[in-house]
Amino acid sequence: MKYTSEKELLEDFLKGEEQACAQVYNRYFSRICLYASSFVDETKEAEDIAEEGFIRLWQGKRNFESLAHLKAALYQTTRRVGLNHQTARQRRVNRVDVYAAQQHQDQNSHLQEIVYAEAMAELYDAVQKLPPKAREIIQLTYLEGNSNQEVADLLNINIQTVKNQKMRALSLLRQYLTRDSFNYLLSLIVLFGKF
Amino acid sequence: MNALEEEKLIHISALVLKEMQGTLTVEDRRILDSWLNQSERNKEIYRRFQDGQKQRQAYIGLQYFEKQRNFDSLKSKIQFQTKKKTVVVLKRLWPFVAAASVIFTIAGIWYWNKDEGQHMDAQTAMVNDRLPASNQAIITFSDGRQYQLNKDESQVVIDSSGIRYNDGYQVATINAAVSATIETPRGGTYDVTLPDGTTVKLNAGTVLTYPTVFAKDKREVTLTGEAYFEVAKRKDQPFVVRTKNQQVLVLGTHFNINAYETSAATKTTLLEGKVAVRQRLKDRQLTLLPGEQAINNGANFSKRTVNVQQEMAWVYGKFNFDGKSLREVMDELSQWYAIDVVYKGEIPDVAFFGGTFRTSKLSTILKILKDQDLSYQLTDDGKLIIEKK
Repeated sequence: MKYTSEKELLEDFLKGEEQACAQVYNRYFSRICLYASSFVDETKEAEDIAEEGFIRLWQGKRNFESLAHLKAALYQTTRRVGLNHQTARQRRVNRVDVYAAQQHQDQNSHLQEIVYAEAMAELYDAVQKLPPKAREIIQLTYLEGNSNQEVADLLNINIQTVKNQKMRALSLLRQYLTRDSFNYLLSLIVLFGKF
Repeated sequence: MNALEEEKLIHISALVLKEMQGTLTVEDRRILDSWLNQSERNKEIYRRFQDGQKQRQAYIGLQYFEKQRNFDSLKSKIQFQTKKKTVVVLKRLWPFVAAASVIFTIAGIWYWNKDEGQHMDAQTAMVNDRLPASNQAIITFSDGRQYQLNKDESQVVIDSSGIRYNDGYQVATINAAVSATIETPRGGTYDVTLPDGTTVKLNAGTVLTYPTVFAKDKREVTLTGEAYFEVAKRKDQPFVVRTKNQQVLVLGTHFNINAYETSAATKTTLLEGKVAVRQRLKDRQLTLLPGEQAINNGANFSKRTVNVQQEMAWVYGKFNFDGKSLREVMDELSQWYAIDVVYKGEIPDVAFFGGTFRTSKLSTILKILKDQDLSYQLTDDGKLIIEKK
């Protein structure tokens, strides 16, 4: 089951429904990893921290007022987990007073990294939600740097089709970015219904 | 659980995205700026959005983590949480390095639009620059009198007695003149209130001619260039805008006409109300509803639904380049910054995405060209030479 209403998803999450937990996890896992990777060097460690963040969120008091609140709490929990990891490591190398001062500084800077992870993830999600053809064109042109002609040859389509698809993709991307994720989920259902 | 600080930062991230699209409000900007001014660290985070390499890394990173996502693994840990977790951390390098060589910059998708003097690199700083358009216009009466409008004012009001600035200061009396022409040069803009209360916002390089007294049965004006009209309602006296290849008939509504001599087509975009667009050549007529745009290039005459925000970006002080070609973007810049664009070789086929404020200096906007692998040079006499790198 996929939730199409934010309210329903939140209600079920608060109740402890597995489906809701899965959807929250699937939606936010990669951005939480990206966030965690801003304070650890290895991807595996970032994944571990993100996972532990989810576990703690799930096991804590789930009294969130909105999905935005839930997401904010998830960032907070993840940051705490990450700091514990760091503290454990630094304790081995540093004297206590040194790391205490450092920790204060780090806490604040880690906090600000939320802005980066969130904005990048929203953009990424918008690209992922493009219709398959449009997404392919975006990836081949903007992300992999092929020219329109190269893409046309690659996909065996007319160059004008490539250009049209590109325009359409960009305008869609813009539309998705201006809405929150739930709204564009819904608009995609409408969109695909048409084709 | 209180996570107010985090919620605030999520909001900041939304503002960053809004800024990329040029849809930031004044209040939004205030919030974003105050966050930026909090610390150097915040400024550094913000700068990363401009960095193609960093954007690419984030994209590939997210793609990678997406693949690692595994709810079953989480589920098993929720059930057996008491079990001690193994802390063996595998050394895994970021997948970024390998992928980076094949992946071209995502920066082409958007560009950053804040005017940040301190981040301007040497190449940009060295070239000549142009300031954005300012309040400039000339009014010419049919009897030959000509007045240069004050740069410190932005709006003139016209009625049966004469022309004055918004603050009441008189520019000229009508005398015997039957019509007047207000002209903004390239790099100039002005607002006009006509005798009937209709307001017209003139974009750069625009000419509007109107009678000093409107006829009883219609209010007729002539336009070349681009203007946004908010027409005062008058049931028995329709408002007509004539351009080179069409006329637009309205009763009372908000709409935009883009009819530059240099552009291939005249575009009429309706925001509110209803207008009828009549093509002169074949005498065909289209009725527009809000959100619709008529395109008239002489031979073809059709309408389509458009993103009004994008079409009207200039009215709100923004450029919106989404999906526009290099040629289209440059046509707009050439009017606003009073520059002539010269292409060395064929015109490169690139599409743009993003927006910025019209108050930006030219050099800030031209950064988008670098992301598209184009080099440019602005000469002393205002020629912008563009070449593929």
